[in-house]
Amino acid sequence: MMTAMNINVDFYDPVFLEKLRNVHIVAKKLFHGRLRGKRRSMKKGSSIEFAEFRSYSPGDDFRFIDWNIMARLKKVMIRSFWDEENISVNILVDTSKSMHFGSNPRIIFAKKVSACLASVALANHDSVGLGTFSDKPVSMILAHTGTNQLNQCFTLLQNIQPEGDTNIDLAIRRTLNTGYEKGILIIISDMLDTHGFQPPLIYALAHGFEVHLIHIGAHPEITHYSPALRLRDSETGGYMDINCPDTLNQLLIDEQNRYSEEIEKFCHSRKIPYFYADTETQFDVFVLQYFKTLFRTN
Amino acid sequence: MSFFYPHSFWLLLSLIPLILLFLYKVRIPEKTIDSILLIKRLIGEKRLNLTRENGVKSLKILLLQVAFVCLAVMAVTAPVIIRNEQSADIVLLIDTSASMKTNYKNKPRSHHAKLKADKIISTLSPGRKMLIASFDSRVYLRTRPTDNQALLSESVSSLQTSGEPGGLTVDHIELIRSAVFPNLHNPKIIVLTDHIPLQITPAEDCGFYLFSESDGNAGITDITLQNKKNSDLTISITITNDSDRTFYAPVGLYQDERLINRTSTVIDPNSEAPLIFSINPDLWETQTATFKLEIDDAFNEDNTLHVTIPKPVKILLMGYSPHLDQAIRTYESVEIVETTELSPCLVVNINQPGAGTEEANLIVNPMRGKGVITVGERISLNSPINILMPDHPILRNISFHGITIPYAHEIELPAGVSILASANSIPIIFCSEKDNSRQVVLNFPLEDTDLPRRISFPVLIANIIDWITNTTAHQPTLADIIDRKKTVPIEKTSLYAQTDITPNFFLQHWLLLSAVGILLTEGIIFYGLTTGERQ
Repeated sequence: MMTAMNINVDFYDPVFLEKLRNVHIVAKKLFHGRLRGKRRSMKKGSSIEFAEFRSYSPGDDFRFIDWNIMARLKKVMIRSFWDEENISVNILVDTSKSMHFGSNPRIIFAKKVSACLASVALANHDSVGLGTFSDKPVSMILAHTGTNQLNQCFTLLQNIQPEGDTNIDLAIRRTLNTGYEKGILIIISDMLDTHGFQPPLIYALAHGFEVHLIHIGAHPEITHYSPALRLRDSETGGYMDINCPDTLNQLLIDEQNRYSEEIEKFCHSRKIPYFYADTETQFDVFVLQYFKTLFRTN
Repeated sequence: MSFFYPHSFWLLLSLIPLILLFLYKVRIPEKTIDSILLIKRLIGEKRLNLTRENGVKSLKILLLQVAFVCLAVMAVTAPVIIRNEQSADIVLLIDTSASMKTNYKNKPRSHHAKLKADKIISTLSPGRKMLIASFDSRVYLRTRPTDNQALLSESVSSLQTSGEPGGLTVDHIELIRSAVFPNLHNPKIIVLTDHIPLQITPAEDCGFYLFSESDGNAGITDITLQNKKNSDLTISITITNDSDRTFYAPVGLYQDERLINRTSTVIDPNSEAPLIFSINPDLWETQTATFKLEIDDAFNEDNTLHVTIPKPVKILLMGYSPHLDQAIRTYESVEIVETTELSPCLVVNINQPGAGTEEANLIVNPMRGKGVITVGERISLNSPINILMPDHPILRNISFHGITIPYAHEIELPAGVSILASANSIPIIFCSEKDNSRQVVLNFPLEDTDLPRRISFPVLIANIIDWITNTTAHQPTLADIIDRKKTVPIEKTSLYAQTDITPNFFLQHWLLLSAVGILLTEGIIFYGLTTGERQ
């Protein structure tokens, strides 16, 4: 039976905010001059980054005529520049019952990491969207910039309630159909999805999202040893009767590691950044590690 | 299939704790976890076992245990297979004499007899033949031996009471035996009668005598059970008479000091006579009586049949007693005036007003007179007898149930009189003891009551004689105090012949062997379970 745990996170707690600021500082250093290229729009625009020369067409702005070229080649050429646009960071947080299970629920870690990522992204003038998912209808905030967006994100995270089963496929399809802008899609989940994790990730990639996967694990807490044990699923209510060996916890840890490796292998094959954390990990350390890893791969 | 000891099926109740224990054992503690996804993966890779295998094994053990208990119980119940070729044919002999016209529970006794006959016919096994016969002073064969129940029922319903007096005699049995038995296989006779003999009262020596084994001249020499299955239990008793006079021997069968059945026979000098008890408790006045004969340990090493009749059952033989004259010695004032036509029992009366003199020991229905007893007016009573001193030796084994006293005399009792019974506050039976002289008074007319037709009457007279003659301390031994085990040597084959229902020993042993085999199998499985490696 699921125990009633305090899953609320005070995002305005001085300690939390202090950690958030430290992340900001470190992230700013990392961002400086390194992410510009990645944020260049495919459209031509008015940035300072040169794109190409092209012939003049009537209606072109005279200010972009390269007079030196015209003098040399006797042709009127126009200089064009890459346009620059804000990137859209969409965070999807798993709110299924399994995320709320245990003495140290995964959802607390997920909330902190989500809040931190949203804060850093907004501080970097990116638009941030936040959504929760299970197999039930989700709450979501469309991607936006601005300080108010951070408050809305905090409110949404604080109002998360345990409900439904983990269903990433349903969540991705629903998200993509409700008008999320293409960009980065960060999925934070325990990945205990009986429907399979591969199809939704492939689906998201096929729709042009840059998918980041944050997998949250937890230590098994089966302390009731008896020759036989009925294990009941907190999400579905289904059960399995097993002969309970003394090494059940270790078996579960091993299996969780194997499962994690399996996901990582898949993500690697699809060039999806994969991050594993358990509930004992410090969220600020994890977020910095996240950014460092991202920048290293870029 | 039938069972010798069907009550042993109660042992099947032991299955209940067995099943409850099984349900307790298979109960599995429950633990909620975040998701069983990882468990499914572990099971899929055979790194974790489901409990299903153990559950199936536990269920197998339960089934084996249930089978073991069932087989063992079946063996204990001693199953019986009744083969048609061994089954007995039946002669249903129904009393149609005049006494059957009298009412019992507002219906003629013949009506009750027909109901009982129909009940017996309805239980007739296929292939088992039955013959209907009736008797009053003679025997009439009503049907041929047949298993057609409709025909038999029709014959029974067409029976009419003849109005002739009559009673079952040995001659009747002999007649049926000679006429019918050659056509029947292993025949049994079921007699439906009120056991009121009307004609066979011996003309000579009437009196009462308690036969004793120590007397040597008469007594029960054999007891056999005719049938154990039916509620119509039949006991045959052989009485031998080595003396040179004819005895008339009515036999009362008692349970808990109550008469539950009676029968009678006439025994010629130096001969023996069979006496058949047809225990039919549903039919007659002892409707609630539960009479039971038990066979325990029917087969033992010395091939004897042990018949144990429960403690409260007593059998009393009544016959001639030379002591009666002594007991009822009232000189010229008392004489034996008649013997009733309704009963073999003697009725004594006092026909002289001088009754109640000091010399009289037994005074019956005292008339007006003076002496020891002062008799007053006659009072109409019509009330039952109320026993006041049930433990008094005179009232031992006596039942006055259903007997109504029509009238009695007011009595002015002298001092020192013990009132044994009363009716409507009038002393009915009382006794006194003075100067080693004992006296008993029955203060009601015997001939106007039903008492002389009861077996209690000769017992009462016998008790009175014992008490008056001061032999209370030395009780004459009853013909058979069935309070002890009586061992009668009998051959196995004889027992088979007498009881068409016998335990099927082969089946019994087979069931026991099967049970032991299952127990061994169960042990092997249990051993495998407990020593098997558990993951």
